[in-house]
Amino acid sequence: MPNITFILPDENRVTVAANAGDSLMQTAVDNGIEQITADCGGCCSCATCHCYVSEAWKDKVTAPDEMEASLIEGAIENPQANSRLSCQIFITSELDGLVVEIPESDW
Amino acid sequence: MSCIIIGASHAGVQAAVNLRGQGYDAKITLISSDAVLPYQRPPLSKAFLQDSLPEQRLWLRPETFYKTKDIELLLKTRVSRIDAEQKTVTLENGENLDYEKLILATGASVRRLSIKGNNLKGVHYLRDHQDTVGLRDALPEIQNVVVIGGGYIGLEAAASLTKLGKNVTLLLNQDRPLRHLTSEVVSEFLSNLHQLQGVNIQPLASAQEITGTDKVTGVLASNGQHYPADLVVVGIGVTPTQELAESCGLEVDNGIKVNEYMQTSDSNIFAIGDCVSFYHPIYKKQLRIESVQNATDQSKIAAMAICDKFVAYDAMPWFWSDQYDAKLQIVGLSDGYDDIVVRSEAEDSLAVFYFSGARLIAVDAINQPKSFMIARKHMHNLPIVDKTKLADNSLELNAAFTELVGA
Repeated sequence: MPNITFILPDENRVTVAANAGDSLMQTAVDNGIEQITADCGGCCSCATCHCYVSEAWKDKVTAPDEMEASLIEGAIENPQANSRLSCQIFITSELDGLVVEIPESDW
Repeated sequence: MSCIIIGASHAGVQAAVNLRGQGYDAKITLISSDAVLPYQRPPLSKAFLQDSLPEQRLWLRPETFYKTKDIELLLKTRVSRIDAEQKTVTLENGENLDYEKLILATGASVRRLSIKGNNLKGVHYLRDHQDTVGLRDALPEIQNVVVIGGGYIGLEAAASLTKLGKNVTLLLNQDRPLRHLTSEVVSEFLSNLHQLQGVNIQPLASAQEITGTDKVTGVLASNGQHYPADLVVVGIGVTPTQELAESCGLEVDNGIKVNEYMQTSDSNIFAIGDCVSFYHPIYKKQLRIESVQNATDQSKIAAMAICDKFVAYDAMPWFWSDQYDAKLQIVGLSDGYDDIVVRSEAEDSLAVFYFSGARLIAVDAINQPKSFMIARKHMHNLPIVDKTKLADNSLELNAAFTELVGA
């Protein structure tokens, strides 16, 4: 199972084993990483699962679609080039070692 | 110390999670009448009904999560009585459980049809996991569906069933869908969308009788027409599940009444989510809100109060609905609006801004997620917004919100 590391807003790091096919958001929620709130349950409606994909991994995850990009643009105070909604990133074996940073909630 | 939570949907589960998050280390018992793990409700009329969401993804948390967090989850368990004086909860099997704090997250129950034929085989409702599974299991055999009700559940059911290749007739009591929830502009957009996808929408056609002898054959409507159907889906709203609260003496009035900390008239009993009636300090009225946002946010307020952190609830309501490829996102409450401004940034997309006087009180966005998000960020004080700037597509929407008056 691919290992994913979340860097929490307090800079603590949590590494969890993810299931291929799950979203990054699901992985966080299932493992009790409550800083990802994911109000809408992963249907790309709320932007409460915002994260930053670390530079090294930015191009290895699938690119955001238009809906995700618009949500990020409208919702996030200072979106970065690596801002993503974690409900739209799906785990594959190639993502073993992925590091994502969870910012303080914008909400 | 111990806390019992009755109801394990969005509000109840999140209350347990938030209690642990707040450092509550005493026993937590989470009681659910469902036979399956606690699940998300929104997909029940959308992705899960369409069979495009595996059941495992429907669960709010995996089974191991409850063990890890030391949350005792009692499935298939009903509470028959609360004794607020003794601080005990009696289960249907007669067992008594003691609590120090009790959270009622009992949700809402579907309103049932009371017309002739309402008990025929083939009449379905959509609220619980088993409702969707039952409906899904019946689908392979059938082709013609009548959906009764033009609220969110009716519209989402119509969209899902159409996507599955069924012939759908949608009967509305009112002259347009979402009559009491949105403006004519949005109703018309949605009507057109459904009609384009092949739904036969019948306004001002309330169901008078479900026909059939042992199973459904159709629906007779108030316009005199008979609509043939092999299956009927009823979505005519819900009522708060408040009987337990009422019978133990708590104050209820279209929901269990709570203060700004989600405390009922008994300070050891809290209530959250769809079953709750509360005063909203921004909209300055008594409300009962059926939404995931409300359930989630109120669960946090209750959990904090139980851990002696008293923060008043004042969250801005927001909602969403997916129908076909249309994404509807709503922030605020438009009820009582006296003016609207429509902003359309692209074909097949629009945002309707609702005003009461000069103040923006709500936004409905269809396929315009950025508008929804920008509005949501700025809505908290019901700002005074320049209507001309809002409507001007040549300006970035942010421009209308940068020089807020009275924000």
